Formats: sequence, structure tokens, C-alpha cells
Amino acid sequence: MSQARSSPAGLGPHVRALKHCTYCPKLCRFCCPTAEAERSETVTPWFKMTLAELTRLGRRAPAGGPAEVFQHCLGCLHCRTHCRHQNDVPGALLAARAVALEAGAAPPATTALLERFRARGNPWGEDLAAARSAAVPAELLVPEAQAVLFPGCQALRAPARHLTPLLGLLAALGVEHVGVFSGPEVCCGAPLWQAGDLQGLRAHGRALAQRLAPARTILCPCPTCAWVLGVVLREAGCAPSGQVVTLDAFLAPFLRAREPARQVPGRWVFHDPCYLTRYLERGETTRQALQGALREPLLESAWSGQDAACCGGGGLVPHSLPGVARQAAALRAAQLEASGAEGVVTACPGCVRQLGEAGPLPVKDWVELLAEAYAP
Amino acid sequence: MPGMPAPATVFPELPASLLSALRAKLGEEHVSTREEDLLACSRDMWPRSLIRQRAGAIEHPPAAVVWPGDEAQVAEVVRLAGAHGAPVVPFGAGSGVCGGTLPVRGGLILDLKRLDRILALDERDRLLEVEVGVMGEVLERELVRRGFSLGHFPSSILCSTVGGWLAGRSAGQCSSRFGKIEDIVRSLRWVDAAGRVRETCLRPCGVSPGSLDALLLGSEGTLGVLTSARLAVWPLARERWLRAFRFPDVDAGLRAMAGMLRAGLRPSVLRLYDEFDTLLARSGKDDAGDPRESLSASLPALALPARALLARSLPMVLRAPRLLNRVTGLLPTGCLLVVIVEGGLAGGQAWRLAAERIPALCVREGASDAGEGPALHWWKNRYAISYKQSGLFSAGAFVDTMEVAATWDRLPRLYRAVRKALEPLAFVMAHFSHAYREGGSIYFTFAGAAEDDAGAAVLYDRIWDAAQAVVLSAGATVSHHHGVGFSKARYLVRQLGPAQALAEHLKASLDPAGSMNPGKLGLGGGGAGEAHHGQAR
Ligand SMILES: Cc1cc2nc3c(=O)[nH]c(=O)nc-3n(C[C@H](O)[C@H](O)[C@H](O)COP(=O)(O)OP(=O)(O)OC[C@H]3O[C@@H](n4cnc5c(N)ncnc54)[C@H](O)[C@@H]3O)c2cc1C
Ligand code: SF4
Ligand code: SF4
Repeated sequence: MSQARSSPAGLGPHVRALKHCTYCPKLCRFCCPTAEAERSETVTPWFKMTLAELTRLGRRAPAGGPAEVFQHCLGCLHCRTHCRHQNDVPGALLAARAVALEAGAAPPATTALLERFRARGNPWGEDLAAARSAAVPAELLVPEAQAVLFPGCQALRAPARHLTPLLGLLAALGVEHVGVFSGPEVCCGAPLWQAGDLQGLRAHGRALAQRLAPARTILCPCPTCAWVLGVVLREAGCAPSGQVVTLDAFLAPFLRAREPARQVPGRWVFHDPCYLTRYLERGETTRQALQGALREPLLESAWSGQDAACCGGGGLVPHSLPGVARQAAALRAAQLEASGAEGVVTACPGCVRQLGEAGPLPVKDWVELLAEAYAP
Repeated sequence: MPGMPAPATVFPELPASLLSALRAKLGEEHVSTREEDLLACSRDMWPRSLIRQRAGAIEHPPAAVVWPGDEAQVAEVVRLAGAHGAPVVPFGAGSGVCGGTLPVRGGLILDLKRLDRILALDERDRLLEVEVGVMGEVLERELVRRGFSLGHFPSSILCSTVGGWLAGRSAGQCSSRFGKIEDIVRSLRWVDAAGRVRETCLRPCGVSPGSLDALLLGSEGTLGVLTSARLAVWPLARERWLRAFRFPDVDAGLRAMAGMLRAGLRPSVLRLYDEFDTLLARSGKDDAGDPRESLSASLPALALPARALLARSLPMVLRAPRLLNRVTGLLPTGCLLVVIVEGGLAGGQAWRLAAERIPALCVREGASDAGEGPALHWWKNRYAISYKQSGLFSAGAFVDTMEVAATWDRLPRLYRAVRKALEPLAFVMAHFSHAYREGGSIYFTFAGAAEDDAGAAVLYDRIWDAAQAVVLSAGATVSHHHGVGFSKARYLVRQLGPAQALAEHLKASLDPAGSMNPGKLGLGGGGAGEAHHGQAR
């Protein structure tokens, strides 16, 4: 797994990265999706880090401008692909946001998001537990199951696109032992982490860990959830005790054991979700698992794998800077379209939504294609 | 030091009427006076600004930043600024290394990155029409996707724009094959100082008589704003021959390079490293991390304790540059020449012939064949060197480069004289990476350190003054491809001598209000680059 980290201990642990970025000639700027979307020096990794360094040195107070600038990061980790120092820019900016939050200087959009989260347990402020109850047969909502599917809030916003086909796929593959998480914590806590609310994250993590205590295996079809439950909460000291498993790893033995009933036609291009590929490093295995279900070879965009551009859906950007998120999505959608594909397939419900709204190509969750291929 | 009060930054101002007119034309979100936006555009990569920033000083913030969305809006901005007497500083990506984007007289930063469209790619005539704000790497990848290449690979391709290349007459790593950007460009569109859109004539080859291209290329924003260009593109290379040779000394390597060019051979890459730079080029690891590690790893002949000391206290070691230069000078490294010949660019077997003839030419000058390895290593790490800068500055030292050009007969003497002048001031090394039939450029790298940042700025100025004094007396050019900007303006003025009056006359007639990037190229105020002397002290 990638070594990108959040820092609960202020900006101190990031000093080396902060200094290196401050004196760097902006070498990763060309791949930073916010810098490319906004065309501004201010939101290049170089300057976001410079500003964080000035804050650390006490030369700038975090309140106002700096705290707002720290928001302009999707957490996509693309900058690290082109950083020979392997700097963890999103980790440092996350720590900068935590500093700002602690100083009472968080931007209004962050405060509003945290309020929504406190009220409903998810960043959208929607009743996603109800959405889950409507989508999942009651017999699958088993609190004491040993293998638990944690859908994540993004999937619960559009269960018909993500959860229903996944349950169908599991049934088609003969997987019978998986229950669906039924607790009120519908979200993994990523928004709290990304807002720099580390106290809130720990409280949320502890509640989740308790609820998930019976589970030996926690299946996360959303790669962000897999990263947060498997790595972030562990580092925050409040991880669930079960093993967090990504969907490709979970499905691999079942897909190997069974031929698809049909192969899905069409030319599909794969979009790498940042957490799947750059954080969890499961992009290749996901592609391999998907390929068997397709009639044509999976296409790649000119920017793919470790170099895939973010869809604009990362971090808090869709909540706090929707215009930036849309622009980043439009840029990515154009890259995918240029591959000559007829459709986009990806492995994250957030990416499905972002890209679906951005370009002319149809966008599918890979579970939709797998479900189609393996349906009896 | 945490908590240390930094010198207060003084932000210049603009008339409110200008700001509101700009907002009306460009939209609220494309005109900013927010402190963070001003700070982000308050310096480019001129190392002296980095030294000053390290000391907490932000010396040249603009009064506002504007982001026009198209050529018409660029023209509006120039017209409005002109009417209010406000300076306009065109800004690409701020990767320039000589203060070209410093708003030394305040005014507006005109950020051109929203002009980033590829307007047309004529695959038959191999002509690209592109706006100036596109980032180099983004453009090259798009061309590669379509089966073409611009053949222009500056080490800053990851962080510079087409507009910056044109405005500064940039050179790429394959310049020996494709030429500098002025050899690649076929026409320009620009907005003049009165805010009128202009276009130069499309031409099938290099700059033609009477063309304004020659004036605009390298004008560094002092005459107007470039908005788009037509550029020649090449089909992708299908084959690549990579080889390295080791020469006994710089002179032998230079003779071989000149021999190749005079024989009509055009390798894509031709880079000769002096003994000191060869050490770094050889340091081997595929990383560009901490310069302390790579410098000490590159000194295999040093005893382990000496290497450990170097790795730990680089600034201290750099404060005794004469010793460091002497010690490394004693190492029997030889001079590495990297040659890369590409095939399939324009059809035919010319590249095969070149690859056959080059080894013989090198051996004749006393070289031994070092095989493909070092050349492949260079190719894989061709942009890596730029990452080393951070480590040096983080460690409290500084580093800069000086690229000058001269004819073949002058190059060896020039090389030695600059080395000698800098030896007591900084650790210095050089490579020769842009070669033409009549001569080439020397790319000096110097690293230094002082007791504190004030001392570092003073030392930095002394280094430049000493080096440029040699350059001027040797009849070499003040710059080869980094441009002149603010930092080298005073050297250019000296080089031009009486001709400077002509340049000023030209500037006055094309930009009567003097609002276009004042203070650069020694034109239009700002103190012809003298101003920074004393500021840091
Ligand atoms: C690590 C590193 C490596 C480098 N390697 C190379 C190299 O190999 N070859 C090389 O040539 N240079 C190199 N440079 C220098 C620099 O990248 C080039 O000068 C580059 O062309 C600057 O482009 P930019 O878009 O960043 O321009 P900026 O720095 O933004 O501007 C440079 C100058 O051009 C003017 N300008 C910019 N855009 C326009 C426009 N549209 N119209 C009018 N004026 C404009 C500015 O006012 C300024 O005077 C390097 C720099 C760094 C930091
Ligand atoms: S992340 Fe690395 S490449 Fe990017 S600005 Fe920082 S040091 Fe430079
Ligand atoms: S993580 Fe992504 S959005 Fe954030 S600075 Fe790096 S490249 Fe930019």
C-alpha cells in the first residue's frame, strides 16, 4: 500500500516536504488537477505547500486566505507520481487544514459540511440509512455477520447503480456469506479526515469499530472507504478489528472459479480512481478482473494508471468548490473521450457520479459490467 | 526559524477604477487582489528571490493578478492598463530563472494559462496552432497521443508554457536536432502595447527578412503579449541509438562535438559533461533526491568518513569552495559525452549513417566507448536534475545556472576562465548541451553557501558579477536560452553598449507608455537590474 499519510500532529512531521516544495520549481504542477482546472499559481502544489510552510513558520496566520487555499486539493496524490522526493502533499495540506480548524479558521464551507455530517453521519446531509433499507433485502442486514459489505455513502446515494448490481453479482457468483453493514454510520469518515477534524474522525472511527467488531472481513467496494477503514483509522488508533478487503481482491477467487455467462460488448476505457490506484495500488488487479467480463480489450487514456487525472471528486472539493470539481471532471472526461471509447468504466461510485455529469460518454461502475456478464 | 518576524511585505496598489473596469470585462473571479494570489506571483524561479524568500522577504508583489480567457480579453487588459498607466507583466508558469516576471514597478500580473487551447493540428503539413498558456508537458503528451512531437524538451517542460518558451527563446534538450524554439516557430499572434491584435506572416522556414518574429521572440513581454503561435511538429521517432563516450578532457570532447556538427550530423542529444559534472551525471541512482547524498555518492574516491561529513554538512563544505573544487578536480573521472540519434523522424537512413560515424569521430579524439548504459541512464533521468534544487535550498545553500554561448574556438577558453573566476566563490561544474555548426553553449552550475541569507545574497551577486565579467570580455553571449529578464539586464546593457540606445528607441516607439514588463532586458525603468544590488543587504 502507498505510504501517503495524514498527520495528526500538526505540520511538524511535514517539515521536509514543506521545505522541498517551497524551493521546488513547481515540477509536478502540470499534473495537479486543481492547478490545471483553475490555471492559477496559487493552487499549484508548490504554492499550497509554500503557504503551509509560511503558516508553520508563523509568517502567515491560517485564518482567511491560507485556510481557503488549503481546500484546493483533491487528495488525488497525482503530484507524488512526479515528485522525486515522494512528498505527501495532500497529507501536509490535510494537516494544514487541521491546524486551521483548531485555530477556529476553517472556511465556512467546511464548517457547514461538518455540521451536516454531525446531523446525518454523511457529508450530504441525506438520510442514507433509509436509502440502504430500501435497497437491501432485510435478510442481508445482519449486524453479527462475519463478512460485512460496507457500501459507503457514495454508493448509498445511488444504490441502483452500485449496491443492487453488486448484490446481484455476489449472488451470481455463489457468495452467500456476506451481510450488509446495518449500523447508522453510513460513511467511513473520510470527510472528517479531509476537513482536518481529527477529533471527530476518532469518535466516528470508534463507533464504527464497535459496530463492526463481529466482522472478520470488511468488504469495501469503494476504494476511499477501503483506505480510510484500513489505513487512516488504524493510524488514528480507532480501526475496526476485521480485515479490510478491496472488491477486486475479494472477488478474485470467485471470478477465477466461474466463466462469465456472456461478455459485455463495446469499447470501454478504464478510469483509475485515485484511491484505488495511487493509494491502494489495486488498479492493475481491478483491470485484470474486469477484462474477463468484456468482449473488447479495455482501453486506456493517454493519462492512466499512476498518471491518471483525478475526476474532481476527491477531498472536500465537490462540497466546498463545486466549480473546481466540475472543471476537473470536464478535463478528465475529455481525456477519456479522446481514447476513442464508447463508454467509461471505473471502480468508485464517486468517480461514476463526477464523470457521468461531465462528459458525453456513458459511465459505469465496474460492478455493473461484472453483474451483466455473470448474470445467469 | 518558527515565529521569527519576517520583513513586512508592501503590496502596491492600482486605481479602483482600473480594477472595476477589469472586473467588468473579465468577470469578478478573474481579477484578484487577494494576498495569496499576489504572493504566488511575486517571484519566479530566480534563485536570488528564493534566497530572499528564505529570509522572509517578498520584494516584488504585484498589485493584482488577472486571468483573461481569450485573446480579445488580453487586448482589453492591455488597453485598460495602458489607459491607467499601470505596468503589465505577462506571466506563463513563472519558471523563468532571471526575474522576468517580477513586477519590479508593481502593476498587473497577466496570467496567460487560460489561453491553453490546441487550435489546430495539420497532420499533413505538420503544423500545430496552439495558444501560449498550455503547459509544455501537457502539450507534448497530447501531440504524442496523435503521433507527433514538438521536439522541444527544455528541462522545465513540466513547469513552463509555450508563451514563456517563445518570449525567452528557450532551448530544449534536443536542440542540436530540432533547433531552439525560434527555429520551430512559423508564425505568432500577439497583442501590442496599444492593445491591438497582430499576426506575423506564416513562413515555411526560419525567420524571414522583415518578419517581426525576430523582434518578438526573446522580447520577454517588453513589447507585447504573445497569444498563440504556429509551430512545426515532427512524427514520433521510431528508433533511438544511445551511446556514451569518455574523453580525457573537455577540449577533446568539444573537438569531437564540433567535428560531428561540421560533418552535417545532427544527433538529437549531444551533451558533454566536464569532469565535475561527470561525477554528478555518473552518480547513478535513479533518484534526484537529496543533493548531499548524490554529491557524496558521486565522489567514490573519497574516504567514507569524508563522504559522510559531506552528506551531513553540505553548506559548511560549500563555504570552502576552493578546496572542494580542487579535491574534485583531482579525481580521474574524464568527461562524459552522451549522444542520442533518433531515426524515423523524416524517413531515410540518415540516422543510421550518423550512428555509424559518431564512434569513429570520438575515438579519433581519444575517447573510449562507455556503451549504452550512461546514455540510457541520462535519458531515463533527463528531467531529474531539477529536483535537486530543493534539497540544496532546504539545507541552507543555494544553486544557480548560467548558460552562455560562443563559437567553437572561444568555448574552451571561456569555460576555463569562468571556472577560474568562480573557483574561490562557489562549487562549479559545467556541461555543453546545445551544439551548432559554429559553436555551442556552456551551462555552468554553481552551488554556494554563506553564513546567513544576507551573506548568501551578497555572495550570489559576486558570483554573477565575476562570471559575467569573464563572459563579456570573452565575447560570449550573456545568455543562451534562459533569457535576460531582470537579473541579467545590466550585463546585457553593457554588452550592447551604444546599441542599447537603439533598443530603447525601439521600445519607446512600440510601447510609448513603457507599460509592458518594465525593467526587463534593461528596458523601461526598474533600474536595468541594478536595483537588486543592495536590496538584500
Ligand atoms: C528547473 C528549470 C529548468 C529549466 N530548463 C530550461 C531549459 O532546459 N531550457 C530553457 O530554455 N529554459 C529552461 N528554464 C527556464 C524557463 O523554464 C524558461 O525560460 C521558460 O521558457 C519559461 O517559461 P514560463 O512559461 O515559465 O515563463 P515565465 O517564467 O512565466 O515568463 C518568462 C518570461 O517570458 C514572459 N512571458 C511569458 N509568457 C509570455 C507571453 N505569452 N507573451 C509575452 N511574454 C511572455 C514573461 O513576462 C517573462 O519575462 C528552466 C527553468 C527551471 C526552473
Ligand atoms: S510535490 Fe515534489 S515535485 Fe511537487 S512541488 Fe513539491 S517537491 Fe516539487
Ligand atoms: S493531491 Fe492532487 S489536487 Fe492535491 S496537490 Fe497533489 S495533485 Fe494537486
